[in-house]
Amino acid sequence: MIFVTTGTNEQGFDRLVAAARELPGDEELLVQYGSSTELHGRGRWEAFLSWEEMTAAMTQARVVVAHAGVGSILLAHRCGRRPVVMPRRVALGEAVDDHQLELAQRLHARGEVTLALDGDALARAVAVAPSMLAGTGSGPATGPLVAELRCTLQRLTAGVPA
Amino acid sequence: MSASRRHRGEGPLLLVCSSGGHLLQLVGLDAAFRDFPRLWVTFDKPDAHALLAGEQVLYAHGPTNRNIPNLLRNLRLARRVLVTRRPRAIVSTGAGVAVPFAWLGRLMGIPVVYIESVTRISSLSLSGRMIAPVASDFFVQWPELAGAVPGARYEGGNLTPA
Repeated sequence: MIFVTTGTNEQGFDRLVAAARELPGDEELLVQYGSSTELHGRGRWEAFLSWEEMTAAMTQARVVVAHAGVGSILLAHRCGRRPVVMPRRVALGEAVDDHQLELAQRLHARGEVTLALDGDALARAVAVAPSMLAGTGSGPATGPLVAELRCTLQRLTAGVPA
Repeated sequence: MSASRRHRGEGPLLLVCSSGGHLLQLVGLDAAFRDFPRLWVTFDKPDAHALLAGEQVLYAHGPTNRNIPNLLRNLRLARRVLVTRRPRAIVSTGAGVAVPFAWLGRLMGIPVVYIESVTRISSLSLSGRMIAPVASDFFVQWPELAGAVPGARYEGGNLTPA
């Protein structure tokens, strides 16, 4: 199963759902299309899924395809997946800025997502099925940011009873 | 303002952010604040229900993007929460919903800790720019952004362990 999600944005992402419908082959599709135009491609199309359905789909799909929103990427990582991501582009009226492109490029370079800029790249990436995310991607953060934030909160609230 | 009004709050940590990616990022930093009493403010969405099960949660008014009525509603909510609960500190990963809480919190002498979203790589978000002047501690998740705010700290990102 190929799971495709446009995230929980108010804004639709027609380019991604169109690319999903055009995916070759007959593999089952689950498309969470949000406010995008519903295209009635093969498989199951839902505007929004419950949290449980979303995490189950992320976990069970052969490939997770998402817009490059940090929520979708983090959720995929929590489910141990390395998603194929298509960034929303400001020039195409899909977002208010190009932060999704910038983030996707960085994370692609680090091997944490597979970047697909258009439908052809998306089809190629889906065909090779990115591997599961290696290492500790699904665990809670334990890095220096957590330690520094913890120290900061203890300093700011010193003397306040727990 | 009387001395008692300026007295540091002894209430819970106030964790405020929008649902979706901002919430997943703040939840991902849980190890930094799990020992503190906590009160969350976010939107009434399925992901918030699932991620914050068992937590104390208040729901704010959304969406906040360029939405003046909801800004005013959230200002009223912030005033009520800050006065009645007297949080010891406010922690946020953005976005717009955090602005009235941060501003009013600063006026009341409550420390404000802001963690800029990992999606911001080369420029601050609007909420980051609006909260920077009232934040006692301001974290960014990419090194390039550390120069964007005087005193901003880069301590690694939380998207994946550093």
